[in-house]
Amino acid sequence: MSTLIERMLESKRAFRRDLAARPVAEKIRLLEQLSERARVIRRAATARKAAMTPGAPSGPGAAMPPSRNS
Amino acid sequence: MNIADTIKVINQMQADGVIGSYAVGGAVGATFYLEPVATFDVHIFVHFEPNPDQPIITLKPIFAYLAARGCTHEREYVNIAGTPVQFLAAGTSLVDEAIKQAIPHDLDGTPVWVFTAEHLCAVALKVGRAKDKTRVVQFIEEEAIDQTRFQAILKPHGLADRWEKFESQFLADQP
Repeated sequence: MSTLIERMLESKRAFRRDLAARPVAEKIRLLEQLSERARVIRRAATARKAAMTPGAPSGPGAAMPPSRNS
Repeated sequence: MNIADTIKVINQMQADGVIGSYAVGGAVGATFYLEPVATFDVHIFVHFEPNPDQPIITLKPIFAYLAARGCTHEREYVNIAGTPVQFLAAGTSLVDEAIKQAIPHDLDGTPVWVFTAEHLCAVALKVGRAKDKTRVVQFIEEEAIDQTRFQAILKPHGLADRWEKFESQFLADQP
């Protein structure tokens, strides 16, 4: 493993240790924020999948299909 | 999602005698010892006192109590203060022990019972989904568990062999 990757992994480990050592109330607030973010992403992914399904509703209210860049 | 408000409702339900001992497990429980992770729901493990008039354990009293307080019920979850909560009746000796030995924590002034780190790790080892295995590795790598206490939990609950296999598969120095 290159030194660069080793340093990166160690930095990640240190950040995780720092997060784990924070007060419980702060960690629970972070968990709530992360969960909300994950929910938004999941909703968007579900809408995108539905838009790609043949026969799915289209129009202004429907989710946009994925672009070529996605 | 506001977990402190959710716990307040559960504490009140306990004070009103609907449930006995309870403890938080799963990802939320693990967050008391590890870094926070995203999760969809809160797992509340509940111990029910044996009742000769009602030999089959049912979660109906919990659902009825919460429905009367405006909480909605969707699939296996009850939405309490904006948080999907899954109630799980203690059904194994491991979970029974985990509830009995749960530790009180303080969450912004709200008392909450949480599994010990060692029991969370043992339950994750037993459940054994990919995300549970990841959690076990986190507990070990972060040195968040007491190895002596953990080993003392594994043997009586028949998890010693599983641990040995897990250790060689995920924690050995060489692949």
